[in-house]
Amino acid sequence: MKRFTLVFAVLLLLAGLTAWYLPASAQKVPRRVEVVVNMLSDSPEDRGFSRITFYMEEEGYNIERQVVTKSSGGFYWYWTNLDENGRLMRLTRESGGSYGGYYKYIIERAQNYQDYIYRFGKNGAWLEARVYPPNENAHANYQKNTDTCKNCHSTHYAQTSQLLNSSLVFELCMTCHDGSNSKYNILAGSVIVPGGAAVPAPAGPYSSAVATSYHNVFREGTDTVLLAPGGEKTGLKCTDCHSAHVLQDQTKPVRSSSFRLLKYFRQMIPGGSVYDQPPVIAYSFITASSYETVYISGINEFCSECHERYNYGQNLNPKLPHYPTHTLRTGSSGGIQKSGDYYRHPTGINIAEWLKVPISLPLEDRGTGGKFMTCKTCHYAHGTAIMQGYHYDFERDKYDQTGAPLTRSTMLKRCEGMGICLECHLDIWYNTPGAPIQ
Amino acid sequence: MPFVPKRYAAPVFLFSFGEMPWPDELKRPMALVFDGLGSLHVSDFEAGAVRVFSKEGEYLYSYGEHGAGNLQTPYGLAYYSGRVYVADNIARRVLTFSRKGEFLGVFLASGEGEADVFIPTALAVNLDNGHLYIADVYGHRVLVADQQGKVLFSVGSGGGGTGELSYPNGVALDKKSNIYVADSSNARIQVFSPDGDRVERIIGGKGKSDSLSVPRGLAVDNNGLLWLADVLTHTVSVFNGANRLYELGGLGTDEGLLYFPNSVALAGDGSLYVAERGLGRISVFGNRGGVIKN
Repeated sequence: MKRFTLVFAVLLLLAGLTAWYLPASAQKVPRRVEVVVNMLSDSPEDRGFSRITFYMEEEGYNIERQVVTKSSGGFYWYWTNLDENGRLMRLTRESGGSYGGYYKYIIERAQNYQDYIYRFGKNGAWLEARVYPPNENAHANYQKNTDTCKNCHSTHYAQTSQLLNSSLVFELCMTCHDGSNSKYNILAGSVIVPGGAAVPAPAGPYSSAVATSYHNVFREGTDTVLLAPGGEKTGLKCTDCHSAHVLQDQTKPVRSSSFRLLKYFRQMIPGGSVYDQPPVIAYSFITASSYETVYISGINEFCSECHERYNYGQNLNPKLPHYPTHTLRTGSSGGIQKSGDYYRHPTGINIAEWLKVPISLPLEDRGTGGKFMTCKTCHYAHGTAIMQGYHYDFERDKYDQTGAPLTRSTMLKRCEGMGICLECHLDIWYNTPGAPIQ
Repeated sequence: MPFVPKRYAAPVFLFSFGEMPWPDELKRPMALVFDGLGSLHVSDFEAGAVRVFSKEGEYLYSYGEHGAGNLQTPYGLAYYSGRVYVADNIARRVLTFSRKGEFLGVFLASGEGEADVFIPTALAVNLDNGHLYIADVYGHRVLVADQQGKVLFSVGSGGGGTGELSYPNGVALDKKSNIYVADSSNARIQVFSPDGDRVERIIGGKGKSDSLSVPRGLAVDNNGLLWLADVLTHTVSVFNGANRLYELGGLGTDEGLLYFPNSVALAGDGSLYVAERGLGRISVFGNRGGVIKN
């Protein structure tokens, strides 16, 4: 009897260990997903569409696609394993050709100039592929040859680090992103949407012909010292915010290039530990007349990588561990509070708690259904075209149209005049948050 | 050393210009063309203007900055019979100016009238009949229009196959009216028959050992040699058929090197003018003895 009990106990232990171990070990993603995009024929019915083919070397992966919708209540997004016709998405075996050993999934009619996010994996682990037809994504998808790599890199030797073909990152990026080889025209701040219209891009313009202030990447490689307001970082280039290939930590269950290739920041904390900044989670919502961004989380933390003190209360930032948490908070209580030496306008508050009318400025959802204010609520990421009565151009002498010296910048703001303030502070006499009603 | 006919001798660096102080400096030169009197018109994508220089590099005048002919992002240029054609990339139209810069009118506008949606980059003109060739990075094709702005036919369609184009950023014609298209995102040049129906030749292409990077500006000289600016290898290559004769430039900002060359133009004496987008500079190559005959 004792022997039976012992054997039973051992078997039970083994079963328990197996049950504990298996789900984790069964999490798996494809080693890579290769993406091929082919425009359909130029016939009237096919024009504006492409075929997307995902290739991978193993079978058995689940497929999901992301869906973003918009209603009067705001944006909604979810993942589904059904295609646009309601059928379960499955990998099929490639037959013939040079990809005889591959498995593939095909989207027969993908709309050009739409953003697609598909993911492949097992048991909660995913590898995401972001595809932007009519072109293959030069930055984040594997392709069938290395030509895209060599556009930016030299294989064996180069005069610049990372074997880049250019000493200035900005010029390298602008080769395509001036609109001549990409749907994103970073200079003009426009993007092409399905149907062919060019609409304002969420990040704003860069071109000095349009923009009155911008994150100044034009000084890359010069002796000009630019200091990030509210921070200590000097100099700026495109790759301070974006990475051409960024892929999240390979050990994470979801492996993906980030929204707009925004960087993942990792900091070494004295003592040897590592701190990962929360990634920016955001999605695009694209129609034939607009290109909007659905911000989920991570913007304030991202901006504070350089503008540290503007996110004064970010006690998560190991560079500023001693700052209090007043200005990055989720509740509405307390109004403006003192943070460090100053009273500061809060960011990160859920304005839905006190503002009952929708505003047109972008807010974060944070997965809670709330409406959280971020740096991007008031500021563009790239540049602004508002005038504010001044023209501020780093490339030229700092004088306005009348010849008077400039005294201020338009600071990448989203609205002219008091527009940003009045989006929330609707009525300065009766409805100012925090002010007593007279 | 193999025998090289004089007309194939590699040109050497002569001089550069365009880096003068604001407001006449070039900020982002994308294309250039010589007018009938030998002045060089340069489209400045970022300044929203066309700058005009003598062939020696002396700044003469600008146009397109104000008024009805205001340019937003001028890119492709072509010259025919006293008219300069300017492709305004983001405004999606092609405008015409006199060689002195007087605005003459809108030649073709995207989506207006019978015109389809297009986003123009490079331009070329057929000197035999005045037909204008417009590289279109929306439809991934080349539109061919007559002197009245009526689109006669288009060349290519979107894709990576033979006869298909992806972000064409260069177009030129040879003496026989064959159409050379810089198929930029497919890393190749495709040479179409004059009616655009057949692909006569392909130079480069993805996966090829000697492929191009991102070819853009093109010119075909009177010897039938193809001159092309490859923007991300920072070179200008010269092809005789599918054979590369030599390369000029290479990454750098020193004289003789090139920094994001986007377009080329050949002067009457055979000198080569290269628009360097990344440096705001025009570099001139040639042979001091005038060996290069155009």
